[in-house]
Amino acid sequence: MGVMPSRWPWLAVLAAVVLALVVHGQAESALPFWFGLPVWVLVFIGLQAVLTFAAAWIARP
Amino acid sequence: MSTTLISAFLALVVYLLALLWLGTQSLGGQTNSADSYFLADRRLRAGVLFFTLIATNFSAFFFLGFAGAGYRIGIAYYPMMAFGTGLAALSFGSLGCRVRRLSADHGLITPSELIGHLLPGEGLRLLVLAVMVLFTLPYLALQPLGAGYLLESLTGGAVPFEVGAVLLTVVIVLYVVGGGMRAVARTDVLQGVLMFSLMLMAFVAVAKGVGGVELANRTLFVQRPELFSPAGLGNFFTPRMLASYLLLWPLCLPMFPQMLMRFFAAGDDRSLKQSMVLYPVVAGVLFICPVMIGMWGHLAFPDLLGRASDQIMPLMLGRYSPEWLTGIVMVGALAAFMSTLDSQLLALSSMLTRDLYRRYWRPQASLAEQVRVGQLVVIALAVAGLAIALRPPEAILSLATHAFSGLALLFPMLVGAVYGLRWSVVGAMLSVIAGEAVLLGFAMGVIPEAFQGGCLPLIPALVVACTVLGVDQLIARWSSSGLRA
Repeated sequence: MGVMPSRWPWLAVLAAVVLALVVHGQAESALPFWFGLPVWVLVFIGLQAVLTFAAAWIARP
Repeated sequence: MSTTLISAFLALVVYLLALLWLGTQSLGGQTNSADSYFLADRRLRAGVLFFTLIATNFSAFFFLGFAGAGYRIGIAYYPMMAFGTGLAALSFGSLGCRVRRLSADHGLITPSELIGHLLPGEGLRLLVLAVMVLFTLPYLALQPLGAGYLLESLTGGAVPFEVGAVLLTVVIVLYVVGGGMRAVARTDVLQGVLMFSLMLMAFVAVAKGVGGVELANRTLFVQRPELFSPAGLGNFFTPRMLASYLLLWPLCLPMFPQMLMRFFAAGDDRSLKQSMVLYPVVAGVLFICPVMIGMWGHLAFPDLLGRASDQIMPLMLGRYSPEWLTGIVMVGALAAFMSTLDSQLLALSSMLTRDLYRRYWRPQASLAEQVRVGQLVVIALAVAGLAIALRPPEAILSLATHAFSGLALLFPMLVGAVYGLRWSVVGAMLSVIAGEAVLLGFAMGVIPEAFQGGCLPLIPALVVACTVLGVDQLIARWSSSGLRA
């Protein structure tokens, strides 16, 4: 059974949440730093961007 | 008089006059109907809707509490809040659009009217009203409390706490009574712009003062590496705790009556969806500022203990930013206090007027009468909030700390009903009561902490609430299949 197209952005949101929990669980060390921030924080900023794109996807007419 | 005090006084006077001016601008165009006063004729669109959603949601905790949490916990506080808030915003374009259409089609104004329309039953309407009022009123009382203290410290004690709390509440009451939701939404735009711009200015000034983001963080990492760990200081954010918070924000944010009623007031679906897309961006950019300022506090003020760390934002501004900026930035924190308080006053006033006065006392009340009563209720609530703020009982403060979880427990029942699940009224009520009872059990120590399983108490309470709803659905199916047989 295929997934309905309207569910795709919600699956992207779910994937972002799972990834956030995995990143948080795996990032034992704060190093290395990029642009003055630990990489795991930068990954979260990337996930925030994914969330924004998913929101835009949900919002499309 | 110091430059900080002069700039603070000037900024404060200009800010309060601007609020009153915006309030008077909202007097015209009122049609003296409940829709007009409580929901701005359901015409909030795009920019105004976005700012009113954000200014209502971002209380002064964003200005002062985030920095304090950055000091106590570290950088781990930022992704939890930003990602959680981004997730919560997804409800604007999904749940929000459904709620908007339902409320517009059926002339609904309050959350109790919404649930009463979906699941007719007086007990359930009153339960939703009671839960929302019970958990919002203490939170409302905390706003003048915080604003009074902030004004006292902002003016170097020249404006005592009591005078400040009364002054700010009076200004809010004037424009809420005069202009209703229209005035609240317009002032929210000013308050939202002030919050954003002043927070960014504070961040730039403090970052420059500590030698730049990269240097400050590297120095801090050598001194306190645990500030940069995913679990934070004291191992606060265990994976289970993070998962709990990522669930808490999306469930509680749309259940705040002042937020839910903004869905009612939205002019169209497009505006709600635009707000949904912009919200994670704003949270992602802005939330890191106070958290990092708080963390950098360890460089200059390494010995703050407990709640004293909530003062880290003014302390850092006093140390690193120009004197004139310190006073002005603190006006941004006042804007955050006031933009939350005015929305809470209006939301509770509409609920008490429509769901109690009109429904049980004067069903024949005209729309104009409802508006007049609503205005009186705003004044009464403001006085009650002030009375609590001036002498806060311990029980009220304790209730305020559970407000988010208490409201989140309405989510499964209410959102399920919005999406077409036909709970029985008894099942819906039992779900909320059982969930709140579990929460109360944890708060009072009746239920051992071990049952939380390392999560927030909300999680077991939510499991119980959802189980009750699941059983309710099973019983409904068995009964219907039994009838068919």
